[in-house]
Amino acid sequence: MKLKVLGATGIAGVIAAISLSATAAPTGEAKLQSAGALAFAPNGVLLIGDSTAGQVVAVETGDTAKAAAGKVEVADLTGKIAALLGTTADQIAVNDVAVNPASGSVYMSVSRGLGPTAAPVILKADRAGKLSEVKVDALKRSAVSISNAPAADAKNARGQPIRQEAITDLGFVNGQVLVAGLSNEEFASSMRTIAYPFTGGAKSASIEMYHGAHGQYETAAPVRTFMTYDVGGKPSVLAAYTCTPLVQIPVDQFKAGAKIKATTIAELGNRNRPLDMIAYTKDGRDFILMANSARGVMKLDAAKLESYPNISTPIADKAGVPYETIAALEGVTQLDKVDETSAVIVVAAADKSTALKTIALP
Amino acid sequence: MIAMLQQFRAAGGKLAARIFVSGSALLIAACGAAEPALTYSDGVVRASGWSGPAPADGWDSVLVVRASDDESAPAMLGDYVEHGGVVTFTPRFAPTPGVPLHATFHVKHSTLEATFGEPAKALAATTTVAHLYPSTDEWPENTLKMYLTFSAPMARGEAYERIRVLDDQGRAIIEPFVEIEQELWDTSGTRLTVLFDPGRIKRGLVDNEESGPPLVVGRKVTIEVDPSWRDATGAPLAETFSRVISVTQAVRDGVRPERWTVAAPQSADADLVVRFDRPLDHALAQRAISVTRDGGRLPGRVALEDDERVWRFTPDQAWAPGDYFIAVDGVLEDLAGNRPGKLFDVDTMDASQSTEATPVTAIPFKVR
Repeated sequence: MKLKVLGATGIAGVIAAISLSATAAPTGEAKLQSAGALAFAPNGVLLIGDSTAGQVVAVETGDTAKAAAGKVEVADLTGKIAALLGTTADQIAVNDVAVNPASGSVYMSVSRGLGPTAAPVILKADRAGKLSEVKVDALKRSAVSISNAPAADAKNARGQPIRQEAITDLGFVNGQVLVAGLSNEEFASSMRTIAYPFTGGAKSASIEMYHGAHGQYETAAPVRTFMTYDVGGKPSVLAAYTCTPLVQIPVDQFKAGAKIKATTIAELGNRNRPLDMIAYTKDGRDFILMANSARGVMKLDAAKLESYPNISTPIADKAGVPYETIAALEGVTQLDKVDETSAVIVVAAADKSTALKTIALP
Repeated sequence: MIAMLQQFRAAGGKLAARIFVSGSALLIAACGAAEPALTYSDGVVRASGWSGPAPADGWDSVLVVRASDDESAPAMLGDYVEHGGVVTFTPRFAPTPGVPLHATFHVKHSTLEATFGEPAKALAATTTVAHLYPSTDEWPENTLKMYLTFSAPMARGEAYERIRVLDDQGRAIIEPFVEIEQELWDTSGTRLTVLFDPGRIKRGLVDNEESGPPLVVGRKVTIEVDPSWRDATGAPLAETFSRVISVTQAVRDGVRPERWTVAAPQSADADLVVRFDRPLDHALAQRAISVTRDGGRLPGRVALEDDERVWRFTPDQAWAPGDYFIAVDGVLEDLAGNRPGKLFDVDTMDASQSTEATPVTAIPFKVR
């Protein structure tokens, strides 16, 4: 479970109007064209967001045996990945990191190269810090297209559609893959729910989000990032929009035809971009740990999230769910949970070098 | 022309051979045909002189190729094949020119080492910003997005470090954009969509009230692109790009196709020309407006003119006389993200604004 968020700014309630159902067609031999957001479904199924091809690829990694105990540490992560892939660190981007809950192994989506033809690579780090490739092409996999763009879309000289949808985050809950997308043309985002396994004619509900600010102004609100979380016994999505604080929406409301009033449960402070988020339990208490672009790592008290009233009035800075800032964690760009006591992080230094580290959950 | 430096060293560090090879890669027979040797050509490392069964720990235990001067770096990923005493290593990806390949071959109780590689390619700074949309030099205060197009595919991952918005004092406006880590490129990597931070445009949000909108009516701003932005080959841009924009009143009105002026084609080979009441979004004006006849979409070319105020349609085939429609999809946006029948920023206290976007607006015209 993870979250990448942006735009900790304003305000109030959120209405999610589920406006249409689109057919998400399963595609045959899935070929990755890019590898971005990662998430895991049960039994070691790795979900890969491929924005370039407009698809989500599900890979049966077969990685279900518990990994050996111990910390995963990789110093100079991008340098080491560059060496593995025969290039220089400036050609490498680590796009996402996810821990397979079935095994505890750490997976990374990587781009080798700079431009639109950069090669997607999935890597796995073992407890000794050894990196190996997950050969997606050799594993059983399936994919579902998320491009519901009309056929008459504008095409470039090579016949490729110009409109694209960036997959900003992925999640999995109750047999459903959740996909947050953001268009590179119209100001619109979608939250799709797609049943997994992907089957012929799988229905995906495409949900358009709206944001009500101060109860007066209402605008379309792209979902930046989300994670699934149990709120008051109900599977829910904790989401952050490009311009809003943290909201929660019960997953059972994600059905065609529904109008949802989501609840704003925290103001995160402005000019801050939450990057990733995990949930854990320590000493019998529930917490959410959130990595941010400008405000360090926040530890939120996740007790009784359902009890927070909707924040519907202007807030000067922050409000809602209380949190403390963990000062020791700086430069965290990726965060995912290993188990109830530890998490992996990717830390970027000022010189742009990166390291994969294991931390004890605070 | 491939130039290669090859160094052969026997175990113990004694230099056995050091040869510059120019031209195509050659087999080096410095140690004799039957002796172990390491060669490199066409991106493949060949280690010859192996005898006996395959090593128990795999070929990567006897032939290690490292694409780094750092000895702690992991070996390159790749495939090993042995045939007739020659172990061939094919890297997972063709090595980037300029990256050294250090090969180590443990064979017959000795260790052979060689360094291969191709010289780095000189990078030519030739890529430029082709255009910045909106094309007009007057942008409304609540402008939602802009598109930067480039003459060649660009690198991903550095956009928000390279685009600056300067105020009329030349100071950079802090965080004017919503930074999407994935960056909103088209498939070709030549068009980037940049969203002004909606938190600073939307009324009533903290960022809007504390920081104000990035664009302020009556002022001028300069959109500047830093030439250190790399293209997909790694080369910087050929030049700095900058354009001065005058900021005008916010547009808070839905797109109004009923106010457009339609000039129906007056002859079979004439164009259909539509003049909008305001500049529209560059991408969507091309995609979201089409010509239909009997419910079918008419194939043809679309061009935008006069700073995205004019839409010109040239059908693939000459017009046949009859009734046609201009179909306007509800996703069409103006520069501020307003759609037909739907404002970007709806004041819910005003019932007249609480409307859904009109799915399709059809404008009839006739060809005689």
